[in-house]
Amino acid sequence: MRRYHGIIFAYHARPELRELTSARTAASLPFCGRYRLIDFPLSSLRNAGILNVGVIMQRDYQSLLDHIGSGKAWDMSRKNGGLRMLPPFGLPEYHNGNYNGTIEALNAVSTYVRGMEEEWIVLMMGSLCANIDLQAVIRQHEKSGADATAVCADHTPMGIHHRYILGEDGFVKKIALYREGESEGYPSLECYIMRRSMLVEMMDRCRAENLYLFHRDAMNLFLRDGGKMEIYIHRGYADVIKTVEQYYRASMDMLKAENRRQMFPAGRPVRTKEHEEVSTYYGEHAVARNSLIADNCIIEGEVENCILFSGVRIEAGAKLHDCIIMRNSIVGKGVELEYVIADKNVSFAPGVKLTGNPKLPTVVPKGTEI
Amino acid sequence: MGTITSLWDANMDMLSTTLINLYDPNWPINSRSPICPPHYTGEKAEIVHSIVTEGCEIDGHVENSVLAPSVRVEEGAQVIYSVLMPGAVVGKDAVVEYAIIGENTVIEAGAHVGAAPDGTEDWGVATCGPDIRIRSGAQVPAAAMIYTGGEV
Repeated sequence: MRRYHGIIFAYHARPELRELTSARTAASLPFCGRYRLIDFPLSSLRNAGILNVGVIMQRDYQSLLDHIGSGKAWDMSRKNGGLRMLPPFGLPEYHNGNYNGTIEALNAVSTYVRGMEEEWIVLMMGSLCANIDLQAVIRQHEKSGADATAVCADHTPMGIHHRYILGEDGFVKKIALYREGESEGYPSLECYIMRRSMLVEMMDRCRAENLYLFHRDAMNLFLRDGGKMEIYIHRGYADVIKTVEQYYRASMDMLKAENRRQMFPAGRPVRTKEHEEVSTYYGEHAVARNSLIADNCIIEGEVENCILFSGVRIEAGAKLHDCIIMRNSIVGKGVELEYVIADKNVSFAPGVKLTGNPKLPTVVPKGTEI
Repeated sequence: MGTITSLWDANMDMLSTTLINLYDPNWPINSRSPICPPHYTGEKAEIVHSIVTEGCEIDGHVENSVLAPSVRVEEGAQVIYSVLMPGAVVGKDAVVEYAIIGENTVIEAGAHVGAAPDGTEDWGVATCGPDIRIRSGAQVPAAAMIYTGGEV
């Protein structure tokens, strides 16, 4: 795919994700027992043969840098091109690296965008929880001859999202911003193929007019100028994770085989940073039902409807249900947890009981000892 | 190594928490793992005193066994004192006991492979595969070795 260059926006740790993102961006949220959200857009690009990818970061990007490294896991560690991590550009005109919007972020790395050789750019959000068949999107895009293609979901997502309303010619005529629930048009997954020259033009105009939001400003400019945008409907599991509730729901959705089939199809594997680890051991009284369990765990208690990341210890007599327990956390003897999200390196002393709520799971921050 | 039984024995030793400390951080064990999602345990899964790893899908009963990546154990199936190699599939209500099942071998529904030790000299660990298909309802006795590509 020599004519396409990827850009992933791994910025915006939104406050709605609470303690889960106090030390990381949404894109580096651990997901499904082994991955981080950014593995999905990275793998989608890689599976379409797009290996030249820039990752625009904002703040709190330490864990992202640590996870992605040189991009080797996605075959993006190359002598020519490959992965470029783009840390925040700290000039005052870019709010000292605290970008207010996607267009501002792009303008901050404008040298990078202008320096690309490719004609087309694929733009994706780092917190896009979907396995997109970008080869199919590109095929449709090239056939349509449109200036841009927007990837949409085939179902209305949980939280606030934008929607595209089509005109009679089949192209997008209008964007409806910040919708909730069902309404006219198709829900956006904030994933685009766009002509690079057009994007650069949009960036220039926005900067000149002090505009910085991609959908509200840039896309509306594009449409007003008569830009032709097609939509591609992604059939399969998809959401852009912005809140704890969405994160929890998306995680629990992975417990259903059909969703896993859509997120991890055989032909489009999801790659992640390699961790060579020991297999998981189940003890004499272990119970594990409807759960996803990573390697290097020791299960001696009971887990139901849970996601356990690697290195988790569930001691005898512990009972968990509907929980997400991240790396290296320890659940002591007789502990009872319901609707809890425990970040990494948390430990629950024997006998502790903690109950959350499916709509508002209790988030236990990294390193907490209870 | 050297014999089938010693391969089986060595795998079973991995279940002993005293014999070898796999979790010692000073002795990392390096090996290439295929990229698969974490293993999934179903509503009816029962796993006791066993080792399971990534890519597995367990809906049946697994006891005293060692499973490699991407092994599938269907509902009602029983895997007891056995070693399952990558990609092995144990079908609905099948029984695999005291056996080694090779890579990508499929044990179809209701088949029975291997048998518990009966004290006789003829007893041994049953072995199947790789890439073998054991047909529905087939009975593979203890110490049997099913290797040639094909079906039983």
